[in-house]
Amino acid sequence: MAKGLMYIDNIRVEFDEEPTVMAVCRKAGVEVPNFCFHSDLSVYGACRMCMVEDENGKIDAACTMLPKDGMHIRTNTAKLLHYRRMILELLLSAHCRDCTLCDKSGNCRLQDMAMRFGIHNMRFQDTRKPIENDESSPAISIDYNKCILCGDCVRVCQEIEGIGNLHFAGHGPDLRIITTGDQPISATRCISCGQCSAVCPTGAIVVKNEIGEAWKAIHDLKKRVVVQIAPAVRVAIGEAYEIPAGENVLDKLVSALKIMGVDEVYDTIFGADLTVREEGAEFMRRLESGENLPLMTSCCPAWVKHVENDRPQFIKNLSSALSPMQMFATVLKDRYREKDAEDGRETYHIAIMPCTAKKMEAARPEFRRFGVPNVDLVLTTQEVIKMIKESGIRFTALEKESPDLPFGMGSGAGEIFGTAGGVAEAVIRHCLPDKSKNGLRMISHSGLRGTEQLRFATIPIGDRQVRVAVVHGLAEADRLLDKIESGEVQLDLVEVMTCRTGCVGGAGQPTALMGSKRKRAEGLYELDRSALFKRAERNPVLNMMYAQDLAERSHELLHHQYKAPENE
Amino acid sequence: MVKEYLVKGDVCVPGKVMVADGMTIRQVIEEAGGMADGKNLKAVQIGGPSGTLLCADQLDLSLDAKTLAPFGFRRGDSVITVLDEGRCIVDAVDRFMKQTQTDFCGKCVSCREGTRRITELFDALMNGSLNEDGFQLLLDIAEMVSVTGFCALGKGVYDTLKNAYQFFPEEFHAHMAGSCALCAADTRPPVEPGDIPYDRRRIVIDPSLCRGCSRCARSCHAEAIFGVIKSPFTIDQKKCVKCFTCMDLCAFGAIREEEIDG
Repeated sequence: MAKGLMYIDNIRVEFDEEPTVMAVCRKAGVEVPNFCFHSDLSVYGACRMCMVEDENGKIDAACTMLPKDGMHIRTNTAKLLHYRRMILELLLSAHCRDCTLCDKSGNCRLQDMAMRFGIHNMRFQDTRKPIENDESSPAISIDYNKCILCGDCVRVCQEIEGIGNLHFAGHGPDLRIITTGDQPISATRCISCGQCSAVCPTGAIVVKNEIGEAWKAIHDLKKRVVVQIAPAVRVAIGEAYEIPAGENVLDKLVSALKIMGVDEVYDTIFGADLTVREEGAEFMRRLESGENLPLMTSCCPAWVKHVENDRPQFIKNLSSALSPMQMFATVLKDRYREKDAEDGRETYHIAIMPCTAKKMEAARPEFRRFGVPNVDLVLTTQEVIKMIKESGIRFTALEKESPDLPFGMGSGAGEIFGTAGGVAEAVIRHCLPDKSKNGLRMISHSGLRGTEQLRFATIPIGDRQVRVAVVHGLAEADRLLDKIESGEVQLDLVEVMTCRTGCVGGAGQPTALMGSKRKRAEGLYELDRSALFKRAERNPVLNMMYAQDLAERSHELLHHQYKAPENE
Repeated sequence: MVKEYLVKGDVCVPGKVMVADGMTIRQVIEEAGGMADGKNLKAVQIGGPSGTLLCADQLDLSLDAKTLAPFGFRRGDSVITVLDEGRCIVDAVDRFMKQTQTDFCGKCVSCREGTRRITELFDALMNGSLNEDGFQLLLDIAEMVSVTGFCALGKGVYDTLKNAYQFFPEEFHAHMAGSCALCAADTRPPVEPGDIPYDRRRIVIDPSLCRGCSRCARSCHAEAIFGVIKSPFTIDQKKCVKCFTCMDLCAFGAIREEEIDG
């Protein structure tokens, strides 16, 4: 039974759990313009774009208005349009106007809104003092002059990620966003997760643009450009070309990259299979010895950084197995050293990732061998979309092409690494002695899959009941760590993903609402269902490599024990 | 119920006035000693920048929320700024609008950007470079802020301007034309908006009463009091945090609070 009934622009809508008029409007299919409303974040009410009028002519913001039975809400009266235009004009007049130079151009909510409302002339000058850009982070660029002070970044950093690294400072006309201590972002506890850039409606916080580096390498004949593509990318990149979220377009992406001039294209799920095998073996060892349990996954570089920064007592729990990207890169660079020496070309490795923190991970000094980084460059999905557009490639019309061999092959377990719960599921698949179809089904129904931010599952392995937790969003992860510390919950395996919904919801992906992020995850599970083989240990290429020399060299190539930063 | 108001501006005895139920604005001004220099009253601003402006016509209304609500009066406003006939209303409203830039939080777009542009347009109005269109824009923005502002502070910015323009349109037109007789004639220090500000009070030691016992200096939290024993001490105004500890301690009653410029 619905709680009440109201009318949005004469559309009859029943409302039930919707906390605000804004939510009811969305239910009615009316999208009230806004900059600062995100259903995952707390209500802030600063942008004043979502003003609506009720039956008494009272005008208020839809995002802070409580729904009442019998309300008649108008969202587009002449008065409201007039006010919205004026607010937009005021916002734009205190904003950079170099749209064509902006990274966010074409994808900017402010620009989009200005076009929607036809703001063609501005009667005010920008009188603010310019603030210097912050380019210190390896993952994001901040241009404070483009900030409209909607506070989305402040809230996502605090409420979803629990880092609280961005703040409001000053007041009145001097209000601005600062990092903790007003330092350059790299000197703060920023974990490079990039969620601030994902929610930013303007170009104030954007993913660091490294397209230039990529083109330079591709056009350098001395370089053999080898690309790996992460699983989460294939189900999201199509959204830029109006392909529905969750549809796998890996084969089109491969052919686009080949047209652009990339030499070899591989699949990160090969690296994921390596991670599963190494981490699975490590997990079984720890289960037997009982040491350093729960094992915590280390695939997410932002999470690793957070543990190093704020939770050093859990560093020993982190898996020493590298992330799939680094696994892939070390093996690739190791295999290609001979080849490089033979033909005098240098292997330049680009990883296409849904993630901004991978840029930070690639730049870490531990992940270098023989003086060069394992991953030379990380491009996010957004950057690759721009590169494809730049090349003039019609993505939807492309012929399909599969990734190259030998490293273009992986298991279904590797595919689901891109969604929260996938890593744990893949590791459990590897460890579970029951290899039958029923075994797989039992794991997928154990509670590891789902939409909750924190999920628990208990899975029998041998004579043990293995307790697994999956958590996404670092604020939630921190609460779980508190419980582990106090002994309130006992766990054997913990998978942590910094971004909500895991890598499919990464900050490098095209901006999307929760609904399409879930569809992307669904797409990955679909890929797993149709995969040739579901378990990492059945990867034939890997088995061959382990049989050669990888088994002996696994510690050298595939593991890294994280340590607490020395200066603290 | 008796409420405390601060009456300031062009009255004989600026200061606190206890206002009982049903007292009219005229009576409140009488309580504060009546108009200074025998001039006639022009307007009163009740509250700060988001308060409301009333003219002589409303003087006999009682000072309560119900009666004054149609004029934009808000509960909680407790400062009454009195302006006499020699004051330019545009200048007064301008000063109140400027106050928004130091008082307001800046959270919501309409108020942060709106009041910023309002003060800019007022600057233009004051130096005579605002035309009719510009003034219409000014009114437009203020009205928009008053509807879409997040809190009562922002929602209140229009009332002062609206009432002032309604009561004294000719002064605004004079400013738009570029010359205001009142501004030119009035050489007195302007009436500033707001409470008697914190930093306009200072704590001083009367040298004729101070015996130099150093008790105040020893108890000062801010180490702002200096002196030589048995000769008068002094307070460093830059360091003083106005905690009044010294005032309570002084055995000779030599320390007192004074206003910097009345």
